[in-house]
Amino acid sequence: MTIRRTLFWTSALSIAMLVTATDLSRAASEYGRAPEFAPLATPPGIGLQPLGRAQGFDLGKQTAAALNRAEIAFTTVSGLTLYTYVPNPAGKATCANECAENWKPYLVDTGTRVFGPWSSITRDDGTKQWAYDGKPLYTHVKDVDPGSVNGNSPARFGGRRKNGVGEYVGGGIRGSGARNAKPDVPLPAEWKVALAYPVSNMIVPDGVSIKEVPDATGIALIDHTGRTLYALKGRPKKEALNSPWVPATAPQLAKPVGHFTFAKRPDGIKQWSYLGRPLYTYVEDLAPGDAYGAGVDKQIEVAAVVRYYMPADVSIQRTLGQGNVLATKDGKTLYRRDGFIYQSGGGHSLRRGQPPRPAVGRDIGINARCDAACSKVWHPFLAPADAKPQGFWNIAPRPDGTRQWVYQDYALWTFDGDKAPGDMNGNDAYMTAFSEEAAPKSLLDFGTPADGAPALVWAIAIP
Amino acid sequence: MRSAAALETRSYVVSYFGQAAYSEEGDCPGGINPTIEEQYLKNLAALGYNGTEIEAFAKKAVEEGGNDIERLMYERGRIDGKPINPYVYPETVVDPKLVALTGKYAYGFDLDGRGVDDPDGFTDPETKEAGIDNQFFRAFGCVRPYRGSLAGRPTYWAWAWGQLQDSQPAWLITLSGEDLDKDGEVTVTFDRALEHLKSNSDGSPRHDVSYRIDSDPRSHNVFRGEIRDGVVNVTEHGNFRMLQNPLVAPELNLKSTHFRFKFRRDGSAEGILGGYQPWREIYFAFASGGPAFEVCITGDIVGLYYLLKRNADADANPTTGQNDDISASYQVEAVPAFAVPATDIQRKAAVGG
Repeated sequence: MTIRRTLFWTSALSIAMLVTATDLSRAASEYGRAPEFAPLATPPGIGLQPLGRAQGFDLGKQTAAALNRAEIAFTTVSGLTLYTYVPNPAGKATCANECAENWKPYLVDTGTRVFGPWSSITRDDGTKQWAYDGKPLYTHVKDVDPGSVNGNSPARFGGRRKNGVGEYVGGGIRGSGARNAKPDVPLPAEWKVALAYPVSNMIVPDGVSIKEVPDATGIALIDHTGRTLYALKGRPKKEALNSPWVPATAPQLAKPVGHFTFAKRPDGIKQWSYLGRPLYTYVEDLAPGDAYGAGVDKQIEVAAVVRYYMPADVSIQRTLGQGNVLATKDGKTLYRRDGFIYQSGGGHSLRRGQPPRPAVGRDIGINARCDAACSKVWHPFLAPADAKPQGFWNIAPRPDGTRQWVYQDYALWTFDGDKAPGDMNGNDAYMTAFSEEAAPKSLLDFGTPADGAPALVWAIAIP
Repeated sequence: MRSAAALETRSYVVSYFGQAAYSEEGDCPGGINPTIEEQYLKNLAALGYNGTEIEAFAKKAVEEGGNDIERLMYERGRIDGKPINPYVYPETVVDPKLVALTGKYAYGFDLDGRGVDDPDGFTDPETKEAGIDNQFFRAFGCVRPYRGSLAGRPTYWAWAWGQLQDSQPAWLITLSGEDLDKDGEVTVTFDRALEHLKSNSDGSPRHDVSYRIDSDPRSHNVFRGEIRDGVVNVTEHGNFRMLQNPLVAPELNLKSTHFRFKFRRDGSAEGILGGYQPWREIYFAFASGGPAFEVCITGDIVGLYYLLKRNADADANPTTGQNDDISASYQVEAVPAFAVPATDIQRKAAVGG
């Protein structure tokens, strides 16, 4: 009887602490779903795009590794931002008449699988509209470029170029046209961008944050130093002295918060636990954004709040000089064809030294401007026939009927000069151009604006 | 290539790399080329602006900044009378006719073997050898950012190295021979490291640091050489290829590579690397930076184009007759290091997917 009573009061106390300590229990039950560890961020048919300047239209204002993805929106497969309409009750689409002139429902393709927060609602005309957390999703008719919000396209911050409907925008040296760019038209209060990041509906303890960790291909928990947190399946054991896993310790006076409780450890240390999984950092992660512990131990994985979709025929290889890179399933490094951008500091050789710019990836598309010799050794990384766009992955049809994988809007390629996993013998290979004609009959076209003489470069694709 | 009997190996990490300059008083006919501000005013005249208009531009530039002039300069090319980017289409701009150097001395090597009979030959101020081919120095030697000496580095090259040394994968030089303190055969190997140059807290290069050798075959160069009186010289003059950084040039490619390298008492070393370099690769490095480069550091980029093209001295194109390569020499400084092959053992297995 004594044991039973003890158990009863312990359980009651735990429940009371959870209820009083947090609003976060809504994250577990708000939408009638049980919390899930590292769910997929997007179903097939839903994309992800960084908003605003992180699209990389602006040629000159960012230096090495400074292209910050402050916001990542859920999008259509063509990259257009998705919105929710606040007055809509869950499960019902009420934007009609005048509202419907500017906001168009994003419809579900037949046969699309829905899961987790993703669902569909049936509209009055019988069509099915995507919904996230029960809220129907819309596009805005004035959004013509990925990264736009309420018709405000980040393309106007870049060099002179055509926007998504073929109108010239931007201009000036190094995107200095932005100085004259019109200010954003604010989003009406009753509309919200459907954001994948930052994550706003989750409460975390002091000292823990939620950040995008590209190397972990997801949005994950990090500690107060910015290091990626990992979660153990099972109860913690006493770590060996040389263990690479360091318990994420909680203050002795800390209380459980939402999905965060404490793991019982044999050494008495109070260790944070997320969804019942004890949390750790990994000693080889030296900088924020590192996730070198991923895959090291089958029992320990990145404490992801959501994970990005990764095709089954893609792997991540750890390389000696450039950290994690995307690779084929058998380890062949994947590359993107990128436009050269001059950067003070010369950070091109650094990992993420020339940050991917989705706008440039779209400019270049599948046309790598390869001559015959180049085409012999560079090959499109083809997607299976049944592959579908999802998250940061898209598919570009090729003239021969095949389909090429596209990641973060860059078409992906392999290089014959790579023989073993981790080889990057095609990285940083440049094709430069300028004209020596006094009266050229046609102008050079590398597909994307450049400050001076243009160049295309083969660059490793990084997560 | 078979290595010389390698009983001793010494490795170095390059701690400075830039054009080898030897500027002297009076080595430029009519004086040094104009500053970029002065040159821009001349370029306005070439575009057809009259004296009064140019004076008004200059006055406004002094009082309010040079945006108006710069905007015109950024589009000073002309195709059918329409403005065009001059860096992409340098031939659409009237040659500003920057002057080249006429001095007697330049560091380098007698690449073409013509010796004293070479009408363009310099004399090396260090070795006193005549017939030195270094047309790159001749081309840029009267443009301010490229004037200097081995001790007083030219502004452009000092700036470029300052930009790159903390980010560009370091270059490694390994010498192998029977006894590197004695005269004899030596194998000289150039590689690229996975790490950038490590510096002390005062910015000086750190000695005796270990660097991993990048296995990328593009940046692996082996030459046979010899040591005579404490100076290493490459004796088989093949091609040199090293990945660099697009800030200076995506790659450094040389033909007929020459290299001399002498040991200093403190264990460091210095030398000259020379050969024939594709001049278009040099031009691209300047042209890719466009207007920001031109105003801040390089000087008139179109002027540099014409200087390079006029002074290129090797590998004439059979169709056009234009020389494709230009003789060039670079200053190399290096400190002792340990060069460790980045072996397959270090590779880690796939970590996810």
